[in-house]
Amino acid sequence: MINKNIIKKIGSPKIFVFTVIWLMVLVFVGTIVQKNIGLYAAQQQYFSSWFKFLGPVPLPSGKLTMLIMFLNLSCYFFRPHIFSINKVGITITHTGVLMMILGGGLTAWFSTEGNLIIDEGKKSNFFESFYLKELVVVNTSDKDNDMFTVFDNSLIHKDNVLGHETFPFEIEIIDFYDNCKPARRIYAGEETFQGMAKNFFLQEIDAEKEFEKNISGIIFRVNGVGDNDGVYINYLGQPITQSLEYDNQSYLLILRRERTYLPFSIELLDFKKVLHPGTNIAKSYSSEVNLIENNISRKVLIQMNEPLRHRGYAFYQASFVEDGTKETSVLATVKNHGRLFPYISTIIMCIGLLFHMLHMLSKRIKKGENVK
Amino acid sequence: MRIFIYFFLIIIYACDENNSVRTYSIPKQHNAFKNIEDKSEKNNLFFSWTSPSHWKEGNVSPMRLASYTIPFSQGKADLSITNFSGDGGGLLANVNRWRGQLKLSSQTLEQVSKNMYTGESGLGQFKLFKIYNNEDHSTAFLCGVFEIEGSTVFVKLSAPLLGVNEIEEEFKKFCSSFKYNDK
Repeated sequence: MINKNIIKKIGSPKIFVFTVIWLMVLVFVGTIVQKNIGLYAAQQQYFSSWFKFLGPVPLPSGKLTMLIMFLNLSCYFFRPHIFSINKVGITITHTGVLMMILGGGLTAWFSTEGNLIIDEGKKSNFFESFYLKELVVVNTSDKDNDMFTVFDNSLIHKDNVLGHETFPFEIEIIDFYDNCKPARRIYAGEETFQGMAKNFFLQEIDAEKEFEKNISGIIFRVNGVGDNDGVYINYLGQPITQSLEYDNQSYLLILRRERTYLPFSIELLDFKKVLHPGTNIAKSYSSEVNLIENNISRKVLIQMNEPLRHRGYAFYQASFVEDGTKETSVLATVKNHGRLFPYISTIIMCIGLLFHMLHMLSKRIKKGENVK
Repeated sequence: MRIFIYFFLIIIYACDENNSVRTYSIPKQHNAFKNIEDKSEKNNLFFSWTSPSHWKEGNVSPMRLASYTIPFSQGKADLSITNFSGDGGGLLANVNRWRGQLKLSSQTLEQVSKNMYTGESGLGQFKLFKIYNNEDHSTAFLCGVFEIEGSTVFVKLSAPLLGVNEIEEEFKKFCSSFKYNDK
């Protein structure tokens, strides 16, 4: 009995109406503030988080609102007689909407995106996240293999202590900056500073609106490696990797963009750029690549609006870099597990609405005939 | 209903995959990182240079891409090559830091620009600074600054003023030899 009441309350159509209105508000405000704080920050604050704090007041953000909407709509399926001829159209429509929200959830949690950057003549089997970073400890002691221990973005924050059985020391994060620049010390650093930190420090600067342009940096203390104990700095694009040795083992410490490894490789054979006549403005560009899987390669042409789709990954021709005589192609790479959900759920919703409309129409017609 | 809620909470918790430590091992040849202990460091760079045969290659350090010991009539000069992302702290700040090391007062950007020479290399134009203190000739600097895509390369020669004067032309040729690596 209590359960029925709870279901009735959670599944109230009023809640659905309020969540839809609140989503409209979020979309409107998120779009406006995006101009000032940038796309990524707006997405994080208004859509990808649970709460958006307005001063000390927590307001439901996109994630929580969608969860409430999902629970609200799910309650419909606990109602009686939902498969009766009168309600089956509405049931199908509800299923479609729930699938759409579920697909959104899958995309939010499981999709990965980034850039695959390849120089002409080279090949690569990973892409790097636009926004997320990872701290990597590489044991380079083995003559054949390098052992990587990778700490995900969510673990890289101030005061967190990182450790793993693959290395004999602790990494205590003193600070992490979304955007920073290395600056030379005017005076020599303290004795506790190691590597580049002896002569440089990281200066925090305001984050760029285009979040992917930020140069993130980390300051951390390493404990447990004797003479190599001390404070190190790492930042994206650091020209020389920080290293330490302990107990006849060599380690590298690297902060880099989060990598996703592919089950195949892509080799850039040729990059072509066509300019608008008489200008230096690119009209179109394309990459001729070799898709190498299980030592079998096939040639594929990736052009603007003609991506390569393989094993759930999509590679779009996004940009290029020309540096002297070197040409580099930038392929925006996406793996989205919820990619098909919008298509399928829209079809289901259409079927549901059509069924319900036809049923209501036939009922009206019958009613009209009876009245006559 | 309770089961439904528990199931949902478990799904949400399980979905948070971005909170982990991963380990993997890959063959060395795929390792694209630059190890400072690796003598083939220069091969990993996208630019290279040509040094005169009598320059002796010195030790690399956490900050240096390369070092050279250069003989002159009354001793040996030290040359370092470093590369930093962005502007490497800024041209003015670096020049004034070098001036500070020679106990010279800081200059404005205009003054720095007046004392600057430029040269051409395969990396494009580079800026050259000769910094010395008239009251103390024991140390002087010749500094080449290359601003390339996304980073700055510094080439710094440190020697007594006599050595700097002797090596100056060779240093300019050395800076001109910087070029992008072939594909």
